[in-house]
Amino acid sequence: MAVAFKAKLWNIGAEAQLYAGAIVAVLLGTGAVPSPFVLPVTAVFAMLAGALVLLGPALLKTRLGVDEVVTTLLFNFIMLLFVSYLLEGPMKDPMGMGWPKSEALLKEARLPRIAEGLRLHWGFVLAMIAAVVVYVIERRTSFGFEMRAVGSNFGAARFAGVPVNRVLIQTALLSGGLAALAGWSEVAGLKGHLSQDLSPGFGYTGIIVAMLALLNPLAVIGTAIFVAGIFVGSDAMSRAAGVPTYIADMLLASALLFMVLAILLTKMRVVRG
Amino acid sequence: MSDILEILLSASFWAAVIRIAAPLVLATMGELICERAGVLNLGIEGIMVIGAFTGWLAVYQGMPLWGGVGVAMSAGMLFGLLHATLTVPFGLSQHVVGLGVTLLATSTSSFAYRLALPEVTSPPKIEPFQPLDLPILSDLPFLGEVFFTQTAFTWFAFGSAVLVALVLFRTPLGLAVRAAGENPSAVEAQGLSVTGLRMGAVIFGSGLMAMGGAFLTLSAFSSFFFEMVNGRGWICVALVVFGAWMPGKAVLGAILFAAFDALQIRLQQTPLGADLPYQVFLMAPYVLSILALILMSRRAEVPAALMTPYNKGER
Repeated sequence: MAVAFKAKLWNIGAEAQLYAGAIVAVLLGTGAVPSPFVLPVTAVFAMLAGALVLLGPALLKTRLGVDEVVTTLLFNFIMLLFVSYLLEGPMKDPMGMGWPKSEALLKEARLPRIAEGLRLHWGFVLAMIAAVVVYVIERRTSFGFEMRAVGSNFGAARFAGVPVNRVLIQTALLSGGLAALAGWSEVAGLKGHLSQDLSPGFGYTGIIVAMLALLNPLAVIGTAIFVAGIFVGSDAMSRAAGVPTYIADMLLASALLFMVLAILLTKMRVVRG
Repeated sequence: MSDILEILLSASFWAAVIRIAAPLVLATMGELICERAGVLNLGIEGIMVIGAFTGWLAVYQGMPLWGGVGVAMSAGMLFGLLHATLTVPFGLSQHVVGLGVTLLATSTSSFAYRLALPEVTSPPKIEPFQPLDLPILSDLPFLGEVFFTQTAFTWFAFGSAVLVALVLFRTPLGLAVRAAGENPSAVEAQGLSVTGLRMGAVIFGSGLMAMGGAFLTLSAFSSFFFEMVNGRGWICVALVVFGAWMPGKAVLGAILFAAFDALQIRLQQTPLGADLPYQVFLMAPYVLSILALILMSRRAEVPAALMTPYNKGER
């Protein structure tokens, strides 16, 4: 269910920011912060870390015009290797029996389950709230208006006096922070420790979710549940019928391509000559 | 320092540099053709995976090695056709479609691999391209080992780069392709089809990328495994920028990059490698690519119409 988190904004380095959030959750959640505040403190710092990770590529884009898609993609690989280093070096769990994973979080640093016996944790609720907050920011604040203006017509926005670069960077900070919050929730709510297989490509799935939801934060909730359903279903299919689970990825990739094509077709009008 | 010097002077190091550079050269040329025609192809990562997989599968099923290369190229061109159709006549976002193509091609490869070989734990091997043994030349000291013990596929990779450079800059077709990326209306005014040129460039370029992927399974390693492309596609996109969209400079960039890659592998075995965690060395290629992008950003001559869809009759 935690997939509901993963899709907030268009940015391809979400994988890296997700791990940044997860690292912070473990760093601070294993005894560094006194227990009553541990949940909010780790969450805030995780978001800061994620925002920081995306700040680099965002600055490169606005200052030097370096394509942010390629830099964020490359950052994903760097981050994964960094996590691998942490898990084999400074953050290795001494009781890990040789498995590369970190120490477990303290009990106070973990998100409680919504009800006994369910795997569903409060992270899911948090994700819903986050989606609504993002929706309100986008539709009801001047920052949100500027953000949409820059997105839909860069030149016109600049001409109208919108501080284009500042808006881009603020958007990036928000996006990085949310992706990191996903990593934090995955650690605090589900796994309880950091490991290298924390995210089986959630960062990439997030892109698909966001596009299928037509970049509408409220629609993201439904889309994410739908996409999560496909993944869970493919696992069941694999067990029952022996179909490889990769069929879920194929389905979603095709869905993405068909979706962008369909959006275009709806915009076409029959012209009578 | 003496370790580094010793490595740089060994023939086996330079032979490795050329071997590592070959797939990058093929894929970078593919991306360069696409971008010269005005289309950013982010499907490159997935197209390399499908090339690596189909080429390997074809040979595993008993086809000759060059047959495998052909199969890989066709598979790459098929996904190139998909990318071209969505981005050129339909004018969809090249970023989104590219990532979609990458995700589709990668998952298709994994899916087909599991279907073809459901019950294997270690990936089966094929007999890859063997190093050429040329009379006299291969026995030359140093040069012989560096240049004349490479496989035929390596020669093919560098040869195709020369061919791409010649066609792009010395033929009317090359001129038309470059013009489609700089000033498409001028191309249309000459009575040529921008759509046709761009689609052709993307399809052919994707074929080259897939052959770059096939190099990994058919010449470098001898089996297919997931994650084997491992970001090489994105690195090639960076190499095109680094080479300022010029084939010669891009090949030099690929060789420079391969040299760093070969160096970091060897440095891991020196005392320096014992001090630093090995992940630092593995990170180097990606950090290097980002640095290259930053360095070149100020004076890169981007094709003027890159990422701008062209609609006939529209201003």
